[in-house]
Amino acid sequence: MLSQLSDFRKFDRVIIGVLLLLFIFGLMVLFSAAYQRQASTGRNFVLNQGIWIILGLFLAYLIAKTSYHSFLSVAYVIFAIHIFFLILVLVMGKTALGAQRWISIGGVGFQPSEFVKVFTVLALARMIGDDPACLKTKRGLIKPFLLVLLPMVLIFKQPDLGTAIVLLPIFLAMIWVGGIRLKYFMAIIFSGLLFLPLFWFYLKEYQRDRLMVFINPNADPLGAGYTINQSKIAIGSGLLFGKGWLSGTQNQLNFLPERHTDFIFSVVGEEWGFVGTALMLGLFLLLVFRGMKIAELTKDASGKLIAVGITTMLAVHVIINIGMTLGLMPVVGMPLPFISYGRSALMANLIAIGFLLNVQINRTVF
Amino acid sequence: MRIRILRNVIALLFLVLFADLFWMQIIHGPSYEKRSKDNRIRLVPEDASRGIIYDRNNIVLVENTLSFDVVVIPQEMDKDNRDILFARLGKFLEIEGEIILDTFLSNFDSSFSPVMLAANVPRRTAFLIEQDMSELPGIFIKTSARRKYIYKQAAAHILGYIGKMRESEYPELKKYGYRIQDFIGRAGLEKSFDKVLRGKPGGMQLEVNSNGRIIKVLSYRPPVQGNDLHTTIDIKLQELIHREFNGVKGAACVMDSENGDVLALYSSPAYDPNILIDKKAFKAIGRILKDPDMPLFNRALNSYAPGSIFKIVTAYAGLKYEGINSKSSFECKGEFRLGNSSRSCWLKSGHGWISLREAISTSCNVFFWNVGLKIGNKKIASTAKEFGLGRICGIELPGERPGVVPNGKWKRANIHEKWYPGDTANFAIGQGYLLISPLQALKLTGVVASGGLEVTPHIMKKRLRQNQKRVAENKYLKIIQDGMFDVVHTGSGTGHRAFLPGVKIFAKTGTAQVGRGDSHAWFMGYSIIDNRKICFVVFLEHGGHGGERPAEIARSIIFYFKEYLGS
Repeated sequence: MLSQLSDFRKFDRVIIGVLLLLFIFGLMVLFSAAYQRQASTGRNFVLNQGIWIILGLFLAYLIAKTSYHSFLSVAYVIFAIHIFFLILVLVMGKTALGAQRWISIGGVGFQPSEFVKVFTVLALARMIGDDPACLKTKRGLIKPFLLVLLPMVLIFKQPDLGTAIVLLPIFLAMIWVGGIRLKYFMAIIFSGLLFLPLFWFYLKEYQRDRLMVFINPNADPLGAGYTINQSKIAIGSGLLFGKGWLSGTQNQLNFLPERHTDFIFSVVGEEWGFVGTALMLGLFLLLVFRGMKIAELTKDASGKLIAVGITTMLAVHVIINIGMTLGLMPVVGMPLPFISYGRSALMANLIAIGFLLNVQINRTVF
Repeated sequence: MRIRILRNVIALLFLVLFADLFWMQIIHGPSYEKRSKDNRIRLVPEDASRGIIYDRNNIVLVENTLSFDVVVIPQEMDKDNRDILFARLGKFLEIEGEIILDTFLSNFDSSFSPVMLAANVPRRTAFLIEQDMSELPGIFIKTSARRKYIYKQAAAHILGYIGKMRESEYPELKKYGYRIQDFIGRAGLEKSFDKVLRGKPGGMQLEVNSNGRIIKVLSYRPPVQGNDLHTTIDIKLQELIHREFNGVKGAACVMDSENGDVLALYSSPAYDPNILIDKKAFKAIGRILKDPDMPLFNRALNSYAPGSIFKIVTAYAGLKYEGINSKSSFECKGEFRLGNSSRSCWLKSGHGWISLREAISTSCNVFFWNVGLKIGNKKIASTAKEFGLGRICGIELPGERPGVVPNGKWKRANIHEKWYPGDTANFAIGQGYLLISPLQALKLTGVVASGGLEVTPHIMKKRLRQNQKRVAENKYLKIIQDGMFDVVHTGSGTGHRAFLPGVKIFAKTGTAQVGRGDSHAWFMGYSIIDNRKICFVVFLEHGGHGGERPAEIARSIIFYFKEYLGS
């Protein structure tokens, strides 16, 4: 018992503290955002999310306890299993109607695309850690690139544009920190920009619509444009202190679609004002700083890259999600970590936190 | 070092978010606040009207009518003068204000969501309330389209009905432009052609003031109407069959063998689709759902033991595989020995020496046992499959069952026993494991009537004639047709009750013994009226003998065509 307590003491207190604050804040926002829906469907969103948070924290604790070196040795296997799940989703998606992101194992449905992000980080950290010199040559870069491209293409096919896109900045951050030559890095960025227009032709019609709406919000005022307009009104009308908990008119009058999932930040903005949004953003930023600090203090290449990959992943989610609610980014369908309602994303993010803390307590320091 | 750069890039992006939040919430906050408070934007969806369904003579079977509901949005009404408001509204609705208050209190959900005060009020009342809206703050008239099934029970199983989408269905349908409040087809054509019928909803983005009055229309997208369906159904015939069945369990279908047009498809007992879409009719809906006779179930597409109507298939197999010819005869002593056991013909005294033609008209079991055992079950099964049994006909309605054409492999897999000669004997007279649907029986009749062509029954009007595949040879069918003629036109024929002076009717009766309860009764065949070959199948679940009530119903169906088509 005592030894387990000492385990807890070893964990970064700032990360633990930030997480707990985010969860408390998040559940309060969720209660308000799902208030109407809960009344009409009878589903208890807050209770469900609370249970998943507790399960997820326990999972994170278990992961943090076993040294990440053991996880690295099976990183490719776990990665391969998740790739298999992604293929399964595509195959089963063919039989059902339209887009399919879910598969069900033992009656519990989950979205493999959420988990695959974490395990791509792990597999990439293993690959670069085993052979850091691979980032020094053009040929060497092919293998890590293919490793990331595989899940990206599979997720893109689902089709889930947002999740597929997130893998790119994670990849860039990891090869950057892994020591890629500056010349190559710039070449990758520029060729990426050149290929961007080509990418347009691979998008589904509704994805193009959403991007068009981003450029001109009045292009589809009843569809995606409506969501952005309403989200901006909600956030802007929150002013400094917000309209108060359960008192957001945009929220409670059903003006905000998807407000308990992807657009939950709009509810924060409306009901908690700038004080609330700045606090939440500040908490996320603190988490990013601590994550990067852990990476900095880690000597072992793989451990360092895990910390970088995971911190970048969380940061990118926050930036894209909040940017989307502010109308700074296209609507791509991406949850806000630890706050949005949803089992798979929550579990995956807590697993990621588990690995981050794992690196923190099991690393070899300078 | 590189980590620091990465961290600072991320921090910079966070800073952009901070700056934008500050910009929106502090600097431009008041203007957003004004937009949210004074000028609320309302999204008013405008449903596309669902397509209309017509019968073959362009008679409307399903149409859309408007329904007006009176609702109140609690947040927008003057709470201190609530009693005055309801009393004033009561005058329009001709009820006491206190009763409205009771309804309000029991339906109240949250201060933002509309509360239903009176559903489906007369159009005139709705207009009067609408005119007096300024005196009734918070009160609104909600109009919605309502599906009206004009012929009620008569066409229920063809048309089906619609129902609100369940939350669990939403994620899959979302991609097709469905919205959470949408109605979707739950049965019949409403279900199988839902995407065709529903059209594309439109809507308006409105700016309204604090009283809910429209200030201006920000944008408008007109709804796109759903497409209409033109069916081959004859609703008058459908009504006649509905009257003839009078709630007795069973099914009937009628088809023109020339083109496969289904003229009637009826399952009994039927239900009134109008009740199922009525939000208030909880009790009546409960009655339909709990009815032990299962009115929602389409018996025309479900499979049952066919009994002697299957002898047509056995007869054809016997002729085709040269087990018998038109002159072959067997002696029926009223009893048939098979191994150690014996089974008896339905006529205990026996039919004596009879030919195929007589065996069909008198439905002699002994004759077909002989034929079946002579050619074997495999040949009967392959003939049954050629005639379309054992697989769905592919009609445009949901829930069609393929039925069962058994063989040794099927029996081992499902009953875990080997195939005995007794099974072949049962099979030959349509008993045992064989299961067919009334619709399949109709298709089978189509093969006989058309002289050997595969006629695929369909409900949607087709512009192009289908290419009909030959599945049987006319020279053998001629012999069978003679027997079927005698079924109705001779005194000893089992179906003489269907006799109508001056009309040629070719038919076969079936009385299928089932495990428990009375036999299933079948009567199938066709009649030539005004050069059209009208195929019909009448089936009564546990309905006794095929030659009795089913033959009489078939007679009424043929009489209908004689009146309308004959000179």
